[in-house]
Amino acid sequence: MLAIIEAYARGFLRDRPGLALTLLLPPLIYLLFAAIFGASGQGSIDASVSFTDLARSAASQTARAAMRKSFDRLSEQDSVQAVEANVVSGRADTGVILRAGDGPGLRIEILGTGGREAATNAVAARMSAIHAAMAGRAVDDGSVQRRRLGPAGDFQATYYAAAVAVMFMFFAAVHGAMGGLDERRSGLQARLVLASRGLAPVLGARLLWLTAVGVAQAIIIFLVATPDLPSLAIWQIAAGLLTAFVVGLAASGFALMVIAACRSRDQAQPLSTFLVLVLAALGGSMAPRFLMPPAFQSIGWLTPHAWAIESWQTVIWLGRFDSDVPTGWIVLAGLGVVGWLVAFVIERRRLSG
Amino acid sequence: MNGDPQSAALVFSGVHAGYGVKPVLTGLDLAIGAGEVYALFGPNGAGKSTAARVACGLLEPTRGEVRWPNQGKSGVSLSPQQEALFQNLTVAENLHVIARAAGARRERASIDVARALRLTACETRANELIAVLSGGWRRRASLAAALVGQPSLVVADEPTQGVDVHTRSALANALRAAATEGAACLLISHDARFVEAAADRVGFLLSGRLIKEGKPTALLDEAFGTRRTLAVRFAETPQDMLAKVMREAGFFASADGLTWRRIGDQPFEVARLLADAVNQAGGELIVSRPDLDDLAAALHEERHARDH
Ligand SMILES: Nc1ncnc2c1ncn2[C@@H]1O[C@H](COP(=O)(O)OP(=O)(O)O)[C@@H](O)[C@H]1O
Ligand SMILES: [Mg+2]
Repeated sequence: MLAIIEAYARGFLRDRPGLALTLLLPPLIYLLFAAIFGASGQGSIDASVSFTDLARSAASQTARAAMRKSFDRLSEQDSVQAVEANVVSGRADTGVILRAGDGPGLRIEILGTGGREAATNAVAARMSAIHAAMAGRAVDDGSVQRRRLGPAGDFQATYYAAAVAVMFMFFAAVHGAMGGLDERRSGLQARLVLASRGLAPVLGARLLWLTAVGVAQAIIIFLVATPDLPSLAIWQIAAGLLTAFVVGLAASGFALMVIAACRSRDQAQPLSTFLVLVLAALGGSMAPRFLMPPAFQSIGWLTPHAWAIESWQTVIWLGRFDSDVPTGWIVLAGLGVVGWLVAFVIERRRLSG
Repeated sequence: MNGDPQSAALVFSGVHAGYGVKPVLTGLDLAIGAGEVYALFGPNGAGKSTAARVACGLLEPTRGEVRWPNQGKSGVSLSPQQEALFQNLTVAENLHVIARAAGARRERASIDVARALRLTACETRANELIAVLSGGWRRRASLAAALVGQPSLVVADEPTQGVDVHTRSALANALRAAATEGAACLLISHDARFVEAAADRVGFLLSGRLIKEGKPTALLDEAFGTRRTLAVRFAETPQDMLAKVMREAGFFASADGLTWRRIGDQPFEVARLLADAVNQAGGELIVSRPDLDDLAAALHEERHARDH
């Protein structure tokens, strides 16, 4: 199996243009995404707002009524912690805390994260307007305040690094797996199967090789994104790498399965491109899931992309290791294993023809 | 050598095999001994490649049995019908991958690779990428890959497809050399000259079973004795007069009417009688020994006559 992996590695290193496309294109796309979405900060975003009302006064009732008119996606929580959790996880873009102020007034706190200043700005501006309307005049008495949650790193940078990484890992895996079609057609696959005394080592070598390429892509993208990321502890780097490994496994298993189902490149090319694009779109690789309507956010969990982005986001940006992370790892590794098994069954049938 | 069951490396007993409901092999019996090159000869679609797949254990017989008495299935190597190699690796690197995939450690693999390169006379191209080699050299490399690691049975499917005379003889030598070193070789081919040069025995496959088997020279002697093939080739179809004369002399025309053949005694006398007319028509005359193609044609005809 090692010998076959080595063969792939040699061939890969000799194919300079392919090498450049596989390893340099993804970080370029990351930089492009980061530039586009970093600059879009000024537009009015339909931000989702999570709030809690600690004042419970006549003034806060008025403010709540105004907020319901202003924000389409508004959710009420019963504690400051719940609001913070929503914002930090990305479920809400911005948090709003209504506190009792001097006399009948209100103190309003706006919670945001690094890299989501656009949403925070928009909500802060709206809340200032509401406050001003209630007071009957524009006030700048510090009753609307902002607080940043989470690390200094850019929330969106981690998101886009993860999103671009998972998308390209799937593209590269599908592209790499297509080499298997040539091996099948030329009889090289049959020859390798006879030499290795079974299909499992041959397909196993392919899985591990494609996974290795995927991990390399992820490492390069996150390296390029490093200036925008929070500073990382050793465990975060390790957990990030492990995430890269299971994402690579998922991409490779998926790719081998799709390619096994195809008879020729003419079939494989459009089918795999379609599938990879659909997964990327639903899974949040193209537009952030936290900006999608709730229905699409739920559908997103059916894609490996959502799990991959969530796991990276949690360990790298949040710096947390909660139960979502191992769950994501299991889902991703599971997809890799299932994909490989399906590919194995199909390819074994094809060996006899 | 022959298919002595004691030293047989591959035995088919009444093998039926096919794809889905379509039967391709319909009761194939054959035995190949260690040190023997056995050629399966037959027209396109006869089931040769299917037999090769069964011989490699890639396709299970639906009826009958296939056995590898020497080393079991694990000693089988395959040189597939297409050149099955990594394009971005050199010849030697390709062979290394095969050797190491088969379980040899690096040093052992180097010895195996050197041996396979020697048998196929590929040493001079060992360090060239497959992608830049000519078709003939790729064919050699592909056969070399099947000879790596002393397999007990080498299955070579159409190794001479699209190669020149020179390569053909190198490939024949390689197979002979591998057999001399103890391998059993199942050669799949419809290349008559190659089979005559390389094979100890030849089996004629037609519609999924053997219709004749034996040493090529013995079979040819038995079938044709002292008779010779007289072939006449024209650039354009001959005039009716000449065609009539030739038919009366026992010639048969090819489908395009350009090649006429007669297998019989006294070829030179017939040639002398026709010489002037053929020369005027711009044709050429060739006298040769009947080959396996002629034998195959005769066998098909015989069979056809018997069936109807
Ligand atoms: N994978 C396959 N699926 C279905 N039919 C096949 C397949 N491979 C070969 N055949 C059919 O089986 C018959 C024998 O094919 P094959 O063994 O390749 O013949 P040969 O090698 O003698 O030309 C042909 O009619 C061919 O069309
Ligand atoms: Mg064939």
